[in-house]
Amino acid sequence: MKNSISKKVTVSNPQGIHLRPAYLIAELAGKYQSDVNLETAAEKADGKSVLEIIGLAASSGTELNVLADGPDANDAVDAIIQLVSLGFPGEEAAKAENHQA
Amino acid sequence: MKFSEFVKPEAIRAELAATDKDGVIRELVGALVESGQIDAAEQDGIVKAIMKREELGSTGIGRGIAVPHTKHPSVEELVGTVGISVDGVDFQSLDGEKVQLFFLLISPPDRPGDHLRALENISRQLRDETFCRFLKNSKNSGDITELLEEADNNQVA
Repeated sequence: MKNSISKKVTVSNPQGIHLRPAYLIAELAGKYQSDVNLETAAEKADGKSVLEIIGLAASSGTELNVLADGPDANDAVDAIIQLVSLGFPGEEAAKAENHQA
Repeated sequence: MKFSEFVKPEAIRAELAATDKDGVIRELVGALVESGQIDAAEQDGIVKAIMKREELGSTGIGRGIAVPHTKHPSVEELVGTVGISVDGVDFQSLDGEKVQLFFLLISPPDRPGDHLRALENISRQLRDETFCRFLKNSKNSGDITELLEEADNNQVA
């Protein structure tokens, strides 16, 4: 069964996709059977690889194209779009706490 | 962002002595003090901040690579260093593998873009199997400096 889908989302958290957001994306993408890829205007990354995602250097305001191909492609794309568009909920709060000192 | 913009040869450690996570971070931060890139008075605070960041989730991203890092107000520009552990260190990595290659980064709080560009460069080079293999086999900081220079010169961007 072939099921490809792609949707765009803008990176909204102020710090952009640094290591921790990249980890959250890869962890989420890893829950789906579908292949997941992320694209910026310049680069493409395997959505399940932290190493590749940080290679996007996606700063706040960058438009990301989220692509998935597989049986659960729709769900995978929607989940990642939600994570990115909400600005990685919990992450900024955790960081604020981390940097209180 | 090229390696030469944030890694000083004097801070590179080709054979880390430490055998645990805390020790590696201390050793690399110590190397940055010795190279004059961070103030000795800030050393403990920086080590603590990096360890606190590790508590949020290991920066061991798999394939024997870790990128321990923090923001810190005592630095005016991004500083970093490279360390290699011959035997590898348990870093609670994503893939459970021991870490041999360390890229430690300390960035000013107001420069998230520089941090992203440093990560981008590390990612780009480490996806190259040859670069990884050569780095793991480097015997001294001179070898590593040469390899980083080569990587910098091969960059298209």
